[in-house]
Formats: sequence, C-alpha cells, structure tokens
Amino acid sequence: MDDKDLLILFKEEGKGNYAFNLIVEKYSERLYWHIRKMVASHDDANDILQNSFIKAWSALPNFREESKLFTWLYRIATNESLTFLKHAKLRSFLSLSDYSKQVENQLEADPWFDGDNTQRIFRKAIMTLPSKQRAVFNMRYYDEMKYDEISEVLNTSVGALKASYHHAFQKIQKILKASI
Amino acid sequence: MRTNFNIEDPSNKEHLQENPFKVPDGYFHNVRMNISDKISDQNRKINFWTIIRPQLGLVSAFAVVFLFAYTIFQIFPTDNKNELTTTTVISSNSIFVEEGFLNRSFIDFFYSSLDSLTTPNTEINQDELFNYLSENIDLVTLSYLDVKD
Repeated sequence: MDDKDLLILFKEEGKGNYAFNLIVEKYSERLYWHIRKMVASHDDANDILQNSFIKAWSALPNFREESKLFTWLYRIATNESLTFLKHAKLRSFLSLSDYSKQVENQLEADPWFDGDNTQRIFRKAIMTLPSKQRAVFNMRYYDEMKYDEISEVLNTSVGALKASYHHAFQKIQKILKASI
Repeated sequence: MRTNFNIEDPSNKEHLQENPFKVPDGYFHNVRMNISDKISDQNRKINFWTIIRPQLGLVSAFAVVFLFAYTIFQIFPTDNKNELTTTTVISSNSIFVEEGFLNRSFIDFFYSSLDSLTTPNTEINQDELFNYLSENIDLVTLSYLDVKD
C-alpha cells in the first residue's frame, strides 16, 4: 500500500489505528537506523523512535501532504534526535563530564556494535561532529539522500547543507588519516 | 598511518557504509507492538479528555462567575438592614405626625421654623388647655391624671 492510500485509510472513520500500524510497520526500521546513527546507543534510539511515532500519531490528522510522508516522518525523527542530543549534552555539561568522551566509551562498550576497527574509528569520528552536521553527514553519506531532500528534512538551504557536509567530510577525513 | 585514506573512495566507502550496529532478536516486531500499545493508551487518554474537557470548562465558568460576584459583594456590601430601618422609622414617624404626637417628620426636620432649637417654644395658655381637655378627654381619664396645682 502506498503512502497516499495509507493516509486515506487513516482518515476513514475507525480505521486510524490500523492505518497507523501499517505506517509504523513500513517505516519503523528505516527510521530506527537513521536515529541509531545519530545517537549510537540502542536504548536511546529505541526511546526516540517510539517518541517520534507517538508525535507523528498526534500530528498526522493535521498533516497537509506538502511533503512526502516519509520525509515528514524523517523530519520528526531527526528533530527528536537533535533534541535528545541537546539535552544529553546539557546533562553531561551539568555533571561536568565530557559528552564526546562518554559517546566514545559507549561505542567501545556497546554490545550491539558489530563493526571492525576501521568502522569503529569512523563511527567515533562521526560522533565528534556537532549534532546537525552529523545529521547532514549521515543522510548524505549513509542514506545517499539528495541535498534537496535533506533540505526539506532539516529546513536548511542547499548551500548551507553542502558547506556543512564539506566541513564534516574534512574533519572525519583528518581523524581517520591520523588513526588508521 | 595511511595518509591516502579517503572515505569517498569507492572501495572504502562500500565498507564504511555497511551498518556496524545490531539490534536484539525480534526487536522490530516488539517495537511495533509497543508503539501500537502506546497509541491505544494515548487514544484512551484523548477520548477521556475530549469528554471531560467541555464539562470542566462549564464548571470552571460557573465557578469564575460565582467567585466574581462573591468578591464584588465582599468589597461593596449592600447595607439593606439600615435602609429598611430608616424606611420603617420614616413611615412610623409619619404615623405619629398624622396622629398629632409629633409636630414634624424627618422630612421636614431641617425646616428651621419648626426646629425647637432655633425657634422658641410658644407659651400654652392655661384657659386654652382647660378647654382642650374638657372637649377631648372624658372625666374618667381626667380623674386619673395627677394634676399639680
């Protein structure tokens, strides 16, 4: 069933729950991986994913279909992740601990990380990027999204996104050259 | 240290793009169930709130009106008791005036010609008094009067 049909079904009397469950089934996995690449931890990604879908459920009756359903969901998940990272950074600042060090340790000890050493160093390098730059880099590098699509998700101009990706690329490249 | 390592190089990119993360077995099935449960809970909460909200609004509107009126009466009390007393006194006073026991009412209290403080009392002629008593009061009543010489 395509997105248009899902949205029509959602608006039908008494079929909202069923239609939304179909939307969750269709997009939960892709959104989970997007969030996981942002926050690294499985538990955090799980919480953010559930919150994102609950927000989407509340906002879907007002969805004006100006963008694709997946882009809209992607935007909710990205915003939720960015908010989570902002709070996490603030919490670590208040507890006088270094947030990037925390994330680094988390990756070292994560039982749900199955990559080799190069991939671990690469992930650690990505985690040093500022949250929004990290979102841009992930969407462009992993998901191979076009700048127009990323612009729709992050509500940022294409020019700014290109600059952001370039800076992220340079920074990661530098870290990897020094470590590998 | 490999100085020529490039993350955009196709051979490196393919390897780096591989997903290094794992999830517990059956995670995606469970998370869908969790989301579905949470949404059902949310629905129940929304239904309860939709029912209770207009009623709460009505009750709070009544409460606000009542409190407003109560505060107004507390700040500016109406002194009904005094008004009633004044009215009663005036009306009873006018009865006494009509009966002849009083020579003025509260209404003409400020007429200076009738004010005993500003106008001297006129002397009552003794003959006039005897005439009045003999005409208006019977003998039995007169006999009860303790008349001084």
